Amino acid sequence: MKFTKMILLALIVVVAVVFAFLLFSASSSTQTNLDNANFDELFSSNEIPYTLSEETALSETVDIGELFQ
Amino acid sequence: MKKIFSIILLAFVFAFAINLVYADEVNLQTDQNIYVNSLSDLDNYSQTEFSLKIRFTQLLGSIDNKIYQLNETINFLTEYNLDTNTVENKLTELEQIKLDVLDVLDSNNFSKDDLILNYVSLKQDSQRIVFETRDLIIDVIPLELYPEFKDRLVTSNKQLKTESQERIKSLVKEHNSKMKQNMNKGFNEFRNGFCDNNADCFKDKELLKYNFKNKLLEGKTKLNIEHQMLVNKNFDKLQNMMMNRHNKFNNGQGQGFGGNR
Repeated sequence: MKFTKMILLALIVVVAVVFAFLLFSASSSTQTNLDNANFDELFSSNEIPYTLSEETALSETVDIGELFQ
Repeated sequence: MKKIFSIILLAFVFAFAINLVYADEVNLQTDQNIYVNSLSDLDNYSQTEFSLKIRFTQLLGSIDNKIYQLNETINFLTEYNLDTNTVENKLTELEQIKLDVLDVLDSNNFSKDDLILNYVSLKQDSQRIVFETRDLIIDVIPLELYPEFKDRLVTSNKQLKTESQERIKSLVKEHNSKMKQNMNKGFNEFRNGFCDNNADCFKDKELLKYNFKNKLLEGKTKLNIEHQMLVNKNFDKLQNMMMNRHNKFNNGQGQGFGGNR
């Protein structure tokens, strides 16, 4: 009887350890996902918001009116 | 009788005073709107000092083009023995604006706010000179010569000078590098805050990207409002800048500057 109780206790401890391990690995994989979501991964160099292309900057002008129409 | 006369006189004086104040307000309002309207030019160029200087370089290109056209106009007027004095004065005035634009471009002492105020002021002054010159040209050139004169102006070269092109290329590089740095920093801060409150962000990176872009758009709208407030708040300063430039031009004419044509 005492032996059975010990086995049960050992089983509970093993289950608890496995559960704790699973919890830990889940949270660490979440952390990995979060870390992976970095800026360079989400935005390629030509889609970084508010950057300018040489072509556009060279072709745009400032309208200060015309001398003769 | 005397009393009635004095009341009528007083009423006239009063009405005149009100009219003066009202007319002054209307003018101020119009000018303020012109400055605010110029801000739309800066929509895609207001993020960094470098991008603002790109706009200044583009303004320089437009001024260079007008200086070329004014020189052509003077040649045209000389060929037909017409008066060139008034147009020459406008050319000198525009050359002074060009020097002011170059001063801004060559200096590192201007804050973003200073650059914005200088831009709206210099653009407004350039426009004023072009409009005034247009009226002068219409007065000086006889109607029958209009088609020939128009042809002469159409052939003007609108291409940016090589040094301006190189300046823009270098400014674009510096701007993009600064934006990447700012975006990286801003994104990390945003991601940490956003993912704390949205469990989905761990699974869906597109959602994270979409929300970050929305956050940037919000920031841009806020920035535009701040620029409008900056211009409205500094309206007197803008008027003074224009007056100082005007005085500098008048004094300079006496001292012979601008005569380097």
